[in-house]
Amino acid sequence: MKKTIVFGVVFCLSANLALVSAEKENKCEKESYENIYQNIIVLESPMLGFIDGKSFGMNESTFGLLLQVRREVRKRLFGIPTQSGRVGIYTLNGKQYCLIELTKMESENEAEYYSKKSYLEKNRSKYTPAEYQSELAKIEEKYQKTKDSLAKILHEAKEDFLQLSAGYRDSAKGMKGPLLMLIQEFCDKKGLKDCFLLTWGETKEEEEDNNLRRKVQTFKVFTQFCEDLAGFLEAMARACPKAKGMFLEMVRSAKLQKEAQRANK
Amino acid sequence: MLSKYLTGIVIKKLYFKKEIFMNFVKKLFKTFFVTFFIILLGFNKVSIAANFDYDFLDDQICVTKDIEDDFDCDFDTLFDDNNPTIGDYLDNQQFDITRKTDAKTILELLVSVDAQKLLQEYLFLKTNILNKRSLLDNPLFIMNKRYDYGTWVLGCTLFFEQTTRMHFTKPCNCSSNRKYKYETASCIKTYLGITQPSLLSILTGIEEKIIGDFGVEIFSFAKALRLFENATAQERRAGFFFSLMGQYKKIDFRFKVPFYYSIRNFYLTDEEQTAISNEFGESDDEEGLRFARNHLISDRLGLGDLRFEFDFPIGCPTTEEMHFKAGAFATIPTAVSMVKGLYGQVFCPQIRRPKIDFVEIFDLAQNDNTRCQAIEIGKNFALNALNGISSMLIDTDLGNNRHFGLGVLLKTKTPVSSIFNRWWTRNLYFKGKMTVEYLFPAMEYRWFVEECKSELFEQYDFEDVEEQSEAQAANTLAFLEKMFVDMFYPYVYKTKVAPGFIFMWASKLTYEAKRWGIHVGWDTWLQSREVFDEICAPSSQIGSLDIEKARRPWGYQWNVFGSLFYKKQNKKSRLYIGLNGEVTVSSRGIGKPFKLTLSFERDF
Repeated sequence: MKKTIVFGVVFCLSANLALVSAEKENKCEKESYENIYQNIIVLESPMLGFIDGKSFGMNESTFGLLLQVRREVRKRLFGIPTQSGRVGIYTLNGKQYCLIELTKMESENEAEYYSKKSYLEKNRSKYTPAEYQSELAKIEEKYQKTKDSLAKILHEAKEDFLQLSAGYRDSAKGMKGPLLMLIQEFCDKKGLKDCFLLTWGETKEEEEDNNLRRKVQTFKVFTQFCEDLAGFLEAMARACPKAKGMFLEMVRSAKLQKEAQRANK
Repeated sequence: MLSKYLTGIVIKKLYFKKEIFMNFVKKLFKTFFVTFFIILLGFNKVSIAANFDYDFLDDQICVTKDIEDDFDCDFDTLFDDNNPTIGDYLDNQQFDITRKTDAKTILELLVSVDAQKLLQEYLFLKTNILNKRSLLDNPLFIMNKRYDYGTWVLGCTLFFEQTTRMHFTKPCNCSSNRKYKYETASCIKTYLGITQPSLLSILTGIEEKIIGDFGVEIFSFAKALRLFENATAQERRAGFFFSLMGQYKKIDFRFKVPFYYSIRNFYLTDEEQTAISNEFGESDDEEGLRFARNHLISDRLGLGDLRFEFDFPIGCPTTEEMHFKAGAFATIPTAVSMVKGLYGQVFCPQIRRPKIDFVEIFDLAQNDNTRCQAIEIGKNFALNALNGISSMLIDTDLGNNRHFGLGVLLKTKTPVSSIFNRWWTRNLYFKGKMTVEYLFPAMEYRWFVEECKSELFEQYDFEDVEEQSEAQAANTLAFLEKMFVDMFYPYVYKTKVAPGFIFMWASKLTYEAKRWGIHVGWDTWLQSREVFDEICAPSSQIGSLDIEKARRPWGYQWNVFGSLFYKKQNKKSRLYIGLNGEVTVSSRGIGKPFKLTLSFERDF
């Protein structure tokens, strides 16, 4: 009896610890992504210093837009912040996922597939050929099903991104050179040698859409690209303190105006 | 055929090539637009389409956190996704940053790159037209052989003249070296301020600012301009010079008129062209030729001015062997161009000044669909400015710019034997001709720039542009636009020009035997500096025009010439066939041409 009780307690504790550990691990992973920019990068190009705060350069609106784009990208990366936590914007099997989660799912699907396939191969002798083929088909079917689902979402995510960034990219037409210079600086500072953001910077303007569709085939690449883009926009914004001040002033004015309207009502 | 010869052989490679110029313009505009695109770094017309429903965030507007904290927040707080105030604002705000470029924006931009300092500089150091010497004044066309066969002499001279480096101005004071001073006057840098230290210094400053501030390697204006500093203008004239001489009692009278082809072009040496090609890239010969013919070569074919002169012996002795004659002459402006733009173009003075609208250009440049239009506006502006320079420097008529001239002349003939009486001096003569002509005033086009630019700039505030109202900024920008046009387009006004006097003195030693003869001599030609009697400009502007820059400098040439001729006689007439040449040894304000002629004169 005692043994049973002890066993039960130990099991419960172990299970609890395992659950807590898994939750922690999950949380840590998400946090690690969110804190990916702990090493703050600030672009130091004199160009940004020059246009900072200028009406024709980085003013309150352009700064706001930059923050807005970054925020939208991060929503896709980590989900929309709510009072109960973040909620992903991509729907898979009735559940909401963010890019980080989908990337994890993608890698897990890959890992599970190869693991199961390997296991099946090792224990092939235990199965009759027919059973082996049946098991292999099951594994592949499951893998392919998940992969197809993910591919469908990836396609949606890419189209969503292209739509999201269409205006931004339109405005960047004709200034790839300067932007590439800034991207290069960002990549150098972040230690990125081969990232898709840099590839995007080097791509001809008219080939941007197709390039993204063609070259981004996994969530891993897409997520990395979004992370880099958000980081780049942040690094650019950090180089514009004057514009930041102007933006905050704009927010304050809007807020006061809204309060005044409420008071009038 | 002659034209083909001239254009095909002589003119070959003697012009700026289109690619070079277009590359220059392209690089200029590339730099211009890259610079300003960088500055105008904007995410135009971007508004994030809200694809997701963020209404639930509305509640978060009632934040517990003091909003004031947000306005002093650091970047980390600003980038915090959980900052409800900023987050809510970003989620619900549509940032319409469609850049309707306004005058103030453009003004700020221009001032930020010190454009106002650049525009205070003068591109045109001079705006005068180039001096030229009338063919009628040339000693090779003086008919003073021993015509003792009949009463009339009809002459036709085939000639070719080339001025390899025309002088734009008087010799500059840039060096104590006399030769260098005179040679430098043939370089366009004495006419256009492309190597002025102040201009280059400002350009370098702007370049450094762009490179330093933007980290962008750009095309070096200062370096590029220096590549063109020694460009010059060339002139070639070829055709026939007709003359008819008669005698009535003791009075000799002559009619002279040339019919010729004149072509002027800009010129760079092979080395200079190579240096430019190295900087801007190789050019396509065919395209280059087309460009040169459209913008850098001017030519016309037609009749020159007509001269009538007469003289009669005065004093004594008045023998055939030795005489002293006086006379008068008139230059009648009959010059007419029968064909213009045979190989090149005719460049008309640009009386209508262009307008430039920086706001429009920047608006066009920002939009991908209209960017080409902005570039086109820029290219047209540059090409028209180039055409304007061509109209000032290489477009010229075939005569004396419609000035009627009256003059007096003295002719002498002295046998050398009267000084050295030797057997070998029997057929040697000193012959001289001296003329003074006054050219009456006539209306011509002249180009002017305004002086005292800096005083005009002082009337505007370029220090606190940000503090200026939109109306003030628009006013200031309009001023800069005007100054920009003024920099590249001098004002063209009808002007009553009095060219003044032309003095010529030719002296030669001649040996004339029964069958042949030889002349060797020198001549001096001097033209006074022109004066403007009247300028048809707005009265409010006349005081500010820099008239000194617009006046042609006085010109001077000292030439040596030689002639070898053969006489062939039949029963009815005597034919003189002569081969003549002339080289300018010294000149000021005009250039050093050389001339070759083949003359046929029939005494009957």
